[in-house]
Amino acid sequence: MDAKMQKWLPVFGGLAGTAVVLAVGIFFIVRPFGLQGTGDPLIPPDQARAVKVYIYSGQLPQPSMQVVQVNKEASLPEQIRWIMRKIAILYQQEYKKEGRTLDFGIRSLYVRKNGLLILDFEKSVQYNQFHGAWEEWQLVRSLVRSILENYPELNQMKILVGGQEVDTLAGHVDLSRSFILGDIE
Amino acid sequence: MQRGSFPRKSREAQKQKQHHGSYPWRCVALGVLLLSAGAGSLSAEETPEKAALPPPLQVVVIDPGHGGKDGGMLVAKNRLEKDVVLAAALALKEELGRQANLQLYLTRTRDIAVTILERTTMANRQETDIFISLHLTTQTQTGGQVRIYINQTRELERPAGLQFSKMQASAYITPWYLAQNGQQGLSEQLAAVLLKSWREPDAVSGESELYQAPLVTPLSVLTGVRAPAVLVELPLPAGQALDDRRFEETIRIMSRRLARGLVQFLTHR
Repeated sequence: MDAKMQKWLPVFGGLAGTAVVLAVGIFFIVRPFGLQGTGDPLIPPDQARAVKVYIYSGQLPQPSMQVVQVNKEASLPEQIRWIMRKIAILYQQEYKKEGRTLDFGIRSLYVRKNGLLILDFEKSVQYNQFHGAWEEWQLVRSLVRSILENYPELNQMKILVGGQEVDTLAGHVDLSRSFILGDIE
Repeated sequence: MQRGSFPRKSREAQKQKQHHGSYPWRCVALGVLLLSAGAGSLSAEETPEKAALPPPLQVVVIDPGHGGKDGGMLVAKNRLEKDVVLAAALALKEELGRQANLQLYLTRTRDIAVTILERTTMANRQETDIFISLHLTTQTQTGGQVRIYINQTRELERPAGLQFSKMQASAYITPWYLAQNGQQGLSEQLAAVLLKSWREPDAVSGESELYQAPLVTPLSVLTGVRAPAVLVELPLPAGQALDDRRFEETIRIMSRRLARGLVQFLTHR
């Protein structure tokens, strides 16, 4: 080893040490959040619950179905958020094929005692996201079925946009009603 | 006491007098009423003059979707859905005006925001025979086919604090969100006729489309319409440069196909 390398050896050592410390730190900091279903999909097997997520897309009459894990120890809104995140990822993959993106961020989410779930979307969902009424309806169907079928304690879903009741999601689908499982057949 | 009772008695007597006095007039009025009713029933019978009159005008409300801040889908560079459907609505109006004796209304004739309620109210106020809402879809989504939607029947919902039985008994009022329920059959027929007419080879382009069933979806703009109503998504190439000449030609062909279907429906209904 020449003198030049020896000079840089402490610097490399320091960098490697920092990387190890960061990796360990991230593992211990992020993992607990992951258990709550907010980021990391690492869920202990004894706390995992399998739920079915449905994706309605294209002209296919039947949706594609995937089984995903949620943390059953997490609160109901957290579990629903987790499912919605999974649906968003699956839709992004679908849309990416056509060089498009889909953004349906959730502002807030409430569960009422009478079994009504209120989803409040960000306003961005209304602008230039969907190619027609069918795509809008497909997303609503995916959300309604994926959530209401997995949680029998919820019986209907109401969708708001920007904290307000609106006529349509993006100019087509009627949001003045609340949706039940029977609506999506 | 006497003072108080006298005027009362006289007022009653006056009333009785008035009552008896009006009797002949009542007989005259009844006679006039009977005569006028007889005349009415006579005139209601079909006379040659009446039969020669043209049939009453049928009303069509054309609704170009979106508008104002709501541009809808970006179809091509600098071409938004709201502008394309407005052009299509104007072309359809022109085409229908040429083909049949109809009264035609557009929910908007320029780029302005129109709420769903305003669109629906216009259709109901004009007592329209057909309501057609125009939108766009991309050819990549539909394989170049038109999409025709009808509204999904909505279950009856009870407004808070109001029992359904009371609602039914109080008045023959249909809540706006149930208005389209009663028209479901006719809307289905209209959609079928439009799809069939779209499929027929066009005299100009010579092309025909494959048959596709109408799509049943809960659609805000159709929910409150008290007439046969459909939402039509016209297939337009997206993301490609659509030059003006080709664009106008496409719009013209599509509006002709729609007009043909609408006239067929109104004629054979």
